[in-house]
Amino acid sequence: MDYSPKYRFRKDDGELIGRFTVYLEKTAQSAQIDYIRKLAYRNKEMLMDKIPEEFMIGYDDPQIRLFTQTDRFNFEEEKLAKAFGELPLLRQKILTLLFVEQLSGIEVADRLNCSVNYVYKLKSLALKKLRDALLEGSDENDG
Amino acid sequence: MTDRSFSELLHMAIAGNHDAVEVIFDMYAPLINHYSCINGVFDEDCRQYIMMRIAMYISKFII
Repeated sequence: MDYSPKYRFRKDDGELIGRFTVYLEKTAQSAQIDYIRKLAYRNKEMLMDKIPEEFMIGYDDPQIRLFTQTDRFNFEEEKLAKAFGELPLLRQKILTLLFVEQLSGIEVADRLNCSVNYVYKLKSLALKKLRDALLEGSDENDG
Repeated sequence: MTDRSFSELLHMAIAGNHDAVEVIFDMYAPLINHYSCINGVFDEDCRQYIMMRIAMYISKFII
């Protein structure tokens, strides 16, 4: 390897080298800060917990609802199947993962990239809605 | 490039001479590497970014 110096110092170059070094250091420092900012912006992620369900794709789209996994549950009650079909897609997905694929809450949270608490919250809301739909039907029959 | 003073080298780099810019990169490699570390870890992409920025801004230096 060639370690010979690639330039010669002159006495009057000292001030210039000093100024240029400071200039270069400032440039490098600002470039580093810019790079870190860009990196932080690129990696900015939003947890699903923070996104309102109505903003998720297919929430109200009947075309997309056709592809939901309603048929994976073997519903005996028609009312239950209908109520399940009316649930938001994410809640349907969570119930399917929990009860059909029998994953744990942690595994579901990992798969959907959200927190475990959010999974259980949506699960309880979905079950409550299904329960209400069933009770509503039975009350009508009793009455 | 070996038989030149620093001011000549800098003039050539400012004028857009690639060899001169390369020599300056070699000279200031420790400084560039120092600022290429993020949280104590060397980041090659950051190094490239800093070198691009220096190559762009070297012509704006007033001698």
